[in-house]
Amino acid sequence: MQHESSNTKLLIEQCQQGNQLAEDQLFRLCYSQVAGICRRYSRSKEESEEMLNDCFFRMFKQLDKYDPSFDFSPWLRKLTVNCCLRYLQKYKGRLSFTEWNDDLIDGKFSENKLPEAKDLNYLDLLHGLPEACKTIINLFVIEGYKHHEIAEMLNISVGTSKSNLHRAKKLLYDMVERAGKGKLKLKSNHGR
Amino acid sequence: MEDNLFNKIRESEELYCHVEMPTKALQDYKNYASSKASVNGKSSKRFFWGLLAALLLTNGFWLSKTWFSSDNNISPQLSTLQVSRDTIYITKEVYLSDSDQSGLDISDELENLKNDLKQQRFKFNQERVQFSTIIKDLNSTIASISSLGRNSLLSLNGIASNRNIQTAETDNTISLLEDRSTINSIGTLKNLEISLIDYKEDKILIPLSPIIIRLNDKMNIVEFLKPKSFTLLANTGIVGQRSNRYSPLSGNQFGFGFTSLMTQHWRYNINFDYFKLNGEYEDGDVLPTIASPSAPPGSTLEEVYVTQSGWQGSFGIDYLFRPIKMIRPFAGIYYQNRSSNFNNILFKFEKDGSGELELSSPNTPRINQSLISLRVGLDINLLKSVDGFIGINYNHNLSTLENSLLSLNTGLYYHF
Repeated sequence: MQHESSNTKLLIEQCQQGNQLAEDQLFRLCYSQVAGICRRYSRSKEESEEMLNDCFFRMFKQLDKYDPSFDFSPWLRKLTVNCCLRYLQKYKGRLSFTEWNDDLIDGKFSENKLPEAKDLNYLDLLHGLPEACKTIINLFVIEGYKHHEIAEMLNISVGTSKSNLHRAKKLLYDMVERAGKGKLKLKSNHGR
Repeated sequence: MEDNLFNKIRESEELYCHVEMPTKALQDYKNYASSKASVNGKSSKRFFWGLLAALLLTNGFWLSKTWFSSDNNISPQLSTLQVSRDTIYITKEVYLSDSDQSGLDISDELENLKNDLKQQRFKFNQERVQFSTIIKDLNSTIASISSLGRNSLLSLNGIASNRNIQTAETDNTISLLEDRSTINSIGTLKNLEISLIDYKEDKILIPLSPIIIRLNDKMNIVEFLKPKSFTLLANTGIVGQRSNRYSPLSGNQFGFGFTSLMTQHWRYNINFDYFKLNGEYEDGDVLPTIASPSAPPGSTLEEVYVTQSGWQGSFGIDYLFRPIKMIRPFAGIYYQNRSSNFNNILFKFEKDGSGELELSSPNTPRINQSLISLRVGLDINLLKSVDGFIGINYNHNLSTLENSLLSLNTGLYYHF
């Protein structure tokens, strides 16, 4: 899905015309991308599957609105993220944001060298974060949204977005340090 | 350092983002999608039934309220005043109640009122208005009259059911009925001090003993037959002819016609259609008025190919079952005259051992037939001035009791 071939566009065109076989093929083609995003936002494997199904349901429903002159992958990514956020927002307690006072967060981070990504799956660390912090990290670091965009998406203030990101970093550094000392047992909720 | 942490997260994302698709993932999704679609469908149905229930409840509440209100009237009876006009028929319900006037016969006075209305010569414009508009207009004309502080009530309710009624004349009639001088023309009521009061002022007293007046204005035959509206129609269809002796012929027809409403239920219909039928007969002798050419020696008649074409004119009446609805079933009976001739009659002979021989028969005489036609179908309101229709005609030959025709027609009406 990184570089769309003409076959992908043809497949999408067939899906837009209601071809069931093309829809199955597109599902298989997009599964990895959508599942990867859903895993980052979900808390469990079951939840991830539910998000994934919901995302695909919306994708096929909104495929008519997709403009083929643009790349499909970013469109799908944005749709999936929005779908995940909507899913999280359905459970109000899950996505409640607090603007953290900077004084309560130690501004200094560990100076220790961070382990390599191949030695430590940082995505597993994200699941140890509070839901709000995890969402902000996902949006800011991985999806690449700016604070004002995140604020708009989640209907929060820019300050709240920043403070949650700051808190997330602090918690992540703590987790990395504890993981290095063997005090933190990392486990994936997704059976990775 | 911060960037370093973020970069590590991004690297992890790149490293571990790939997710293998489980074998049952697609089937799971399909189950989910179908259940979701089913839930959406159920939601729509639930919404529909909920809305229906709410409407029924509202209606039930309104009805029970009306019932309760009317229950306070002692033996209310309906009195009807039908006023006929060139193009309108308005039914007025008149309730008159007065404890002191109980049992008083004022039918003569209402006859006078009717005559007064008849003497008014309104110039009506032919204009179609929607039935709902008429109801709205008439509902707004409910008038109440109280007299001398006694418990009396005269309310005029109007219900017009002719969909070709005109707003202007409705208003005229209403204003006439609301006019104090007209009401004063009722002799008995002249002695009462009648004052029109605003319905909204809530000064209406509950009547105790209503006086009932029933007055029906019967239309005479001339008024009944008088055309009230004019409609042009164009139709096309398929037609099949069947006889006890002939093989079936099939073809098509197209034509035009005029309709005119007599009342809201009855309408005239005049049609002119051109039709063309094709078919083949196995016996040349069965063709009426056409002599079969003598077979060449050693040959036998195998088949006769015919093409029949002509005009048919029909005149009749339709009855509309639901004249004010969007879809209006109708049934009609027509007298039909057909004038046709066989053109391109081809007699095909088979000669033993030497192939086929074809002979054409020139100059076939014109055939005139009288038929009685039964017609059923549906009128469908499409636009303000345009209706569509679909119907089936069964035409029966009156003279020979043969050559019955069945046709399926569709077309458009344009109302002027």
